[in-house]
Amino acid sequence: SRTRSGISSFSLFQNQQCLTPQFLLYLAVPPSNGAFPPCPPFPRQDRHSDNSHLALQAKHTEQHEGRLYNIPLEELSAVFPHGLPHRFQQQVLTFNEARVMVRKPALELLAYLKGSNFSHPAVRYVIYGERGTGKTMTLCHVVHYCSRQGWLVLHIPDAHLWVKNCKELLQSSYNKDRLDQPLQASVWLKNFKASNERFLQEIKTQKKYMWGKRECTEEGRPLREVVEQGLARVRSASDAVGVLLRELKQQSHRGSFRLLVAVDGVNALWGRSTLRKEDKSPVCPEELTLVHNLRKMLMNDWSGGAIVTTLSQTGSLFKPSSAYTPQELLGKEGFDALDPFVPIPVPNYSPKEFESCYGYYLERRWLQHEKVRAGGSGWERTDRAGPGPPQLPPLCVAGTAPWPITGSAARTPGAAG
Amino acid sequence: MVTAPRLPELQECLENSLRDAQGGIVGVSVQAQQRSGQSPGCSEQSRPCGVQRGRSGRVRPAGPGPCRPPSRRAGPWAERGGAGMAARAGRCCRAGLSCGALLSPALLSPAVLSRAPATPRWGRAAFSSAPAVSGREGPQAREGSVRRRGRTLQFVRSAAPPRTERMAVDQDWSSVYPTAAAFKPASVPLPIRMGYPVKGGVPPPKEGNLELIKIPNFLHLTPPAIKKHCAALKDFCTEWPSALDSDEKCEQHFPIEIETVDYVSSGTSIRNPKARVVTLRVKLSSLNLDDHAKKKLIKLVGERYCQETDVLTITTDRCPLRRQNYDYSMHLLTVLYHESWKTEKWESEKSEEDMEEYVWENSHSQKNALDTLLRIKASENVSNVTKEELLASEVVKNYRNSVIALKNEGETESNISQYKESVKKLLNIQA
Repeated sequence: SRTRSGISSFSLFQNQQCLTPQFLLYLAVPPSNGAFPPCPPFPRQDRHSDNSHLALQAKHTEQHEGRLYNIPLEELSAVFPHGLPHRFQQQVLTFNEARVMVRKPALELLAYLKGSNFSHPAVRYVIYGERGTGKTMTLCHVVHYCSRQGWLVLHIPDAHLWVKNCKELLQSSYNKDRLDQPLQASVWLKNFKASNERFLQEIKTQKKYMWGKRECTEEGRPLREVVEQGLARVRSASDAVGVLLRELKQQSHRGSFRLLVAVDGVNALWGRSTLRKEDKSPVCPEELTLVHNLRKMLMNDWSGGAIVTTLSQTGSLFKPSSAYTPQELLGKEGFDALDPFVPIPVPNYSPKEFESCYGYYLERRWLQHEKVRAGGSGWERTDRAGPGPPQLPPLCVAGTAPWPITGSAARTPGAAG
Repeated sequence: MVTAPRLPELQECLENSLRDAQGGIVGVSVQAQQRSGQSPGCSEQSRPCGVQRGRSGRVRPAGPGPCRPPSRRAGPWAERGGAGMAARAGRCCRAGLSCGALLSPALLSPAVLSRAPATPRWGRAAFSSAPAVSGREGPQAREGSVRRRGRTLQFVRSAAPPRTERMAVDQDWSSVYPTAAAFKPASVPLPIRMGYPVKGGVPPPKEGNLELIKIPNFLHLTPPAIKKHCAALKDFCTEWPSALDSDEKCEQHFPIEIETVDYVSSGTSIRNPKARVVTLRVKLSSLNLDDHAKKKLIKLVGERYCQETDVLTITTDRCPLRRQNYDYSMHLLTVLYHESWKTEKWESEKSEEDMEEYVWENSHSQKNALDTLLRIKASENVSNVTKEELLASEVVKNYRNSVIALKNEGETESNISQYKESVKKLLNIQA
């Protein structure tokens, strides 16, 4: 790799063949010493779509493709207590703003959601694509749109977290064969509560639920009590999640609210788990209460909303790293469970999107290039006509020590967009 | 017992012997890296040294006879001349000097030693030799002269030019190589090189090239030679039936192919146990099988069936005689055919995992699709829609085809997009 200004660690250019959204997101990671000052606000340019008020976001159309729109930070913490990719969160911290690019798969999904008939059973959408192409960001875009539109968003940030690395597994009191995961359930309940306060107050239970011998939640109480019960008594958190899902499913057809079920890494529910019971026998995912209830939620036997899911190989268990298509990741069982679904492919950045993202980083003065200082676009591209991967010259970030690039960015992602 | 001399001693002795050398020995040079075929002088020797040597190989002197036992006489070496030198050098070799020096028998032979100008070609000499007295001995040894080697006289034959130079371009090659024979460089008029090339050089030539001799060659089986074989065998053959003039007709009339092998060897016995093996090949398309029978037959034979060529191969060798094996293979084919037409009671328990290809009917996909459609119809308050009607509708058929393609052919971009379109139509999703 060419070196410039004595910084010689840009081995990422040796490995990278094409530029993916994730790769550019890696560039946005601040250095570990944290010595980078926050950037001052800069004047908006035509690459940013105008979203000065709420309704305009709903009007994102093809003409906005490739543009970045801004999510105010207060909204970000309300809508996404969990669920944003880690690198994107760091970018938000760095730039002090959250800019999401409007891309075709997200636009397509939004169009389907806008045109869907809510008296019909919920349609399942499965976002798939190769690693680092922007599936989770597409999901987050849709989640943000739906929460802006006033939907109740049931966002499971990563289903893989529920089938691995679980420290505590309790036998479920409701069903002897199943296992509870109190920690995961309580964490999720906390985040769910943070994002959907309003709904939890309005929606009432339809049945009496007994928590153990003494505690119970009466019929007609707001769902908030169920959630608080789960948070207070961690042992019954998984059952609280189950109750919540059941209630929402039964009440969504009434039309008082729209329900969006957003699951990231849905292939975890039908894969294998690395958890073991006390006798060291492996645990099947369906033996976990959380997974069992979520699977029921993903059936299309309810109406009044939509189900948007993402397939994810990173974080998956026992799946080869080259797998990205629905059948490969879901397996036979998962495919049969989700069938019929609408698959939505997410490709790599198109040249236009890439330019937009690159220009954004240049504007934020994150990417520094000699020729930029001299003026001009600062980047000669060898071939821009075709859809081939662009060859980026080495970039150096002024004044910061280079950081080691680890993780999946160092590996070459798949075909270019 | 004379102890093995050390190197400097040897060197000293050599230098001493120079003055008194009669046999034309000028010194002993050590080959660092040797290729015996390289030196043209070597190839013209009466005793070609065709042995490739490594650095550390111990070489048994093969050229001028076995190494003579060490002489007990302690006299000056000059008297012994070449023989003494050879003996001494041989003894060093046997004593296993740890310097790893190789004393080549070729070098031990006086003929080469006399060819001192060639010394640099043999690698750097560990024992330096003075090439002083080389010149006068060299030309003499090349011609068919009498050379003195110890007490015996040896006649060195003059090397004749190879036969290749006298070969015509249109000669009858089958008389040069009528049978399988080793590669003879002087008989094959081709400029072949074979072997690992020297650094910065080329592979070694064919003269004295053991690599070419080791490998099997088919110089005796050129097309004209085979034509002659066929002409000779023709007397023992019958006419090919004129009606069978194409492969398809042969397939049609004689679908079963039997393959047997006969073995001939030069030995006292004509029997060969491998001759009893019989291979039967038949295409399943030429057998009268329906769908169930074909699937059952394929499951019964397992690995013996090739999907791409649709050929069933049965190899039998369990009987001692060929005829018995042939009968057995025909019996097997008959039994397979009849068994596959039968349907057992337990075949009704065939499950989804046993299926060879994806069948949409009664699958999860069909169930889900029908359930979804019924729910859609129920939500629109359209009742009295039967399953058969739904199954017969266009959208469901489209969906069915796309799912079958996806499952059977695997996932490709086109398959997935076709599936997507069919689901959109099925669920009536508008953008």
